[in-house]
Amino acid sequence: MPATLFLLVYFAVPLGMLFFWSVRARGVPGLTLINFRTLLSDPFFLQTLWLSVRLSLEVTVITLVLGFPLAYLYTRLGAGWRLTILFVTLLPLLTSAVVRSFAWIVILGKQGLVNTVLMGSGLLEAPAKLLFTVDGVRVALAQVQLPFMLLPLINALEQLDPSLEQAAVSLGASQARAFFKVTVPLSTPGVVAGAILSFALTISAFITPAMVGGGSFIVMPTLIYQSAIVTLDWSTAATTALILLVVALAVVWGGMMLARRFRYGVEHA
Amino acid sequence: MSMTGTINEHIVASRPASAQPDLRLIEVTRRYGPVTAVDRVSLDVARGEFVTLLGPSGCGKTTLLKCIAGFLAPSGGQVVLRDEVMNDVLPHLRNIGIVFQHYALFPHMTVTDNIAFGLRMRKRPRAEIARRVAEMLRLVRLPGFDRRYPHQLSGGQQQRVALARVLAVEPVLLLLDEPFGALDKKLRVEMQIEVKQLVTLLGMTTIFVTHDQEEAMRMSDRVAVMNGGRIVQCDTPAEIYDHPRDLFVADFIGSSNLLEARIADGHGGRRRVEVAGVLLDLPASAISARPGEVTLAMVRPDNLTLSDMAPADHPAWMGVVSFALHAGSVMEYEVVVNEACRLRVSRPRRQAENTQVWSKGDRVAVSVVALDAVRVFPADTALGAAAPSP
Amino acid sequence: MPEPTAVTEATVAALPGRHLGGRVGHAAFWIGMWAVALAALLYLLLPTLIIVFASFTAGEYITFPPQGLSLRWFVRLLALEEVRVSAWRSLFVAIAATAGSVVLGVAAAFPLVRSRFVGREALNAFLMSPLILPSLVYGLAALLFLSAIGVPLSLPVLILSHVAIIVPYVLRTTVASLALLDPHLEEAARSLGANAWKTFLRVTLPNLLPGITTGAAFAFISSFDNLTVSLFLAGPRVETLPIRLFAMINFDLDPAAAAISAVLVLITFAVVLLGHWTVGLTRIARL
Repeated sequence: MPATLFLLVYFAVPLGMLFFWSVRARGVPGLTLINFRTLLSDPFFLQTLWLSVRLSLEVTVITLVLGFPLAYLYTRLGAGWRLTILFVTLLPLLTSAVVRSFAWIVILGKQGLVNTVLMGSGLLEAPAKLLFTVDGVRVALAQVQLPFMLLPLINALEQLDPSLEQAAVSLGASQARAFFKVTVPLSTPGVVAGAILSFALTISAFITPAMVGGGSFIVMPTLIYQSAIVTLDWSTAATTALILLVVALAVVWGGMMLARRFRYGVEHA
Repeated sequence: MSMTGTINEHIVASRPASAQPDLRLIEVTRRYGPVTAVDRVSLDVARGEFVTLLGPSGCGKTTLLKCIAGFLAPSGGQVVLRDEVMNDVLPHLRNIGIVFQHYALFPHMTVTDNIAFGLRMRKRPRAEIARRVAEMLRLVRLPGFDRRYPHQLSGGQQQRVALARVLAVEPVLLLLDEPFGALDKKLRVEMQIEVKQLVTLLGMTTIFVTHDQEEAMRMSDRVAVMNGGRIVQCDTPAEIYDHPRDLFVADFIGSSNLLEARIADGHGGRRRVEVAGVLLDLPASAISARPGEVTLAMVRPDNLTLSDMAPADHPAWMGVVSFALHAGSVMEYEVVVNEACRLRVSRPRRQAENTQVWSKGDRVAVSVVALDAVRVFPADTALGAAAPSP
Repeated sequence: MPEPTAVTEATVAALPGRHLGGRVGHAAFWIGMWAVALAALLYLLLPTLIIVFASFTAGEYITFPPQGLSLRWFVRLLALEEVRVSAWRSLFVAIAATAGSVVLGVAAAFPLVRSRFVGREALNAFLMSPLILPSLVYGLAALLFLSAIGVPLSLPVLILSHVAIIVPYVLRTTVASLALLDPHLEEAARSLGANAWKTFLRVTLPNLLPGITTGAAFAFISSFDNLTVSLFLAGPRVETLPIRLFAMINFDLDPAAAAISAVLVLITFAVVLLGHWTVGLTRIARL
């Protein structure tokens, strides 16, 4: 079982190191929680943490709302459409985050697509500042994360028995009512799975906020990077990373609890 | 006799007063590009009648069902329900009840909520809904199950809830799409009887879809045998069994011996046909082939009997028993007359008069019990194209 | 043929309400669904298309729409030494890491699928965990670890850390393939006289190949594209293409960066196409 050994050494142990570093502080002997206390009482840190959480939640909701209709239509359309949707989903998924964030810089920049269109049509006099703002990052992040939300959604909706919706319709529910009363509730486990994944990935995204948000835009991952590489304050970096992990895991765990409540012992078609 | 099966004469013959058919399918067609899944199907169903769409997979029965329900729009023709053309009406407004193959009970709702669903969609008052749900539960004999969830129910119970759910809204028409497929044999037979009793009690016009011919024969007032998107024959079960219209129906329903036949001569109402070497005197109506066509004769195994020697006035085939099987309530024999002719014979094992049992190797004479039940078809209608009228 | 006189017999004038009923709501529902879905599709696709389009600019800097079309920036790529070097390095790392992960992943897949032992589920989860763990956190952790045991950052180290995070891709698809493989096939081969090794080579492996290749393709791309972990672990003189790209974009908006991006997109496009032809996209999406 060389794989296990390898991963154990190369993966688990480093994580242990993280833990180790976070509980040691310069000038203080032995194990201590002082790092945690320092960070968690720093208003700047808390502000950054809150920004990260809020942004990730917003992005998760956006991707959910945007992705659900597409996933729903996927299950109802023929092979040609399905292939197209999958292709359009997989292509960005596999493209480097650097490239995708770069694309957003091109779109949101002063001489980028959005501004060119808005100014060209006379709606704006001066170019709007879209880059290096929270809104810009939000829009870019949502697009980067959309494929990660879409795939679990598609999987969840595909497993739903189509005759359930038909049964609702035959009993008198309009298409819309059948959708909201049957399809949506029954797809909840898949939705939660996608949301968990999306949230976890978004909150730890480094590249997109760094590039689209610019130097002054700080989220948790940026903090970690700066502490580790720039200021070489490895204790802070480790502590921040651990706090990030804990927050992400808390949301994942919360989500899984939520999903369990909605199990219904659903039989998959 | 008409070709595609609209048989008003049969309705008049077997049903009382009520004039207008409840459901009329008029030349309903459904195409998918070059493929025609349902090909100009016409059918009249009287109120309270139980009609089964029977056929092999791919014959178009499920597609036809979906057209009736409104989930598919016909490419041509009309679906008329109680004198109202339904083609434009959205499926949720048709008031047609459907029981799906896997019941499609809403897993996230209790039995009560499932049954109440249709009523809630129609915005009935709470008290009425509660009353109706209780009534339905009593009807399907599941009182006290109101708080359970579908995954807590057995297959048979789920089925009854599915029925209750559909009957709660008093639909105009009931569609059953192979509802017993998931049940084991014994339960299946029980449910067949139960469902038939229930819909008869309620006078519910029912269309039943299945590929299981025993089921179809057992439950239906009429059976519409489908093949290749067309209704090949629509008749009572007895008629279908005794007088299949073509080779496809003859072969699909029950078992049959198919033998080489040659129409020798005849006049008036009778013909003499040489079947595998034996000359039989058959009514002309049993023959749906033109003189000179290559033909096959169909004789059902239960329409043949064995004797030690050829009976005096009955033409018979002489042969040797190649196997004799005790198959439950019947004896199944195969008698080899010659290389080209092997006859399957099925005789009940217990009967009022003495039933002799033969064994392998015995020399026997095989004769026809009822000549009127022998049919002669053109040999090339095996693919199910309708036979030309004589 | 029965006459269609029934058409004239049927009372066509039913309540108009029934025939028009629900149409507005019905249409509204589907229009709404389609509108959002198409918006989502465009949202997914456009940025990639835009950057590719912008890379064909003939101008000095990146604008949209591009000022004229030319291939000059692609040509320039070949001249830029840092770009060439980092590209080769990325390729090398990716190939090496993929090879390593395939060996480990395939080897690990068999006991996971075929044997039963205590803690199998837990082991599975553990081996898959790099997928959900933020690569950022892993990068930091690995950095701390390596400095603790005194190993300097270098190319081999980078490769090993890539292996750690891409093994799950290969493992996932291989396990899925293996689980679907009929064990009777191997039994049949053995009963016909093939020994264990031959059976593996001629029966098992060919059937697993689509799954392994898909996983390997995902792994390769993940390694090639990887920025976060590489940023932490590459060290000052080891530069991969994404790192180079990152620097180019952060320090000046060089159209050459757009050209690199376009090339990367093309590679991804080719891989997705390959995936479709070999395995089929629907199966990939299910993994």
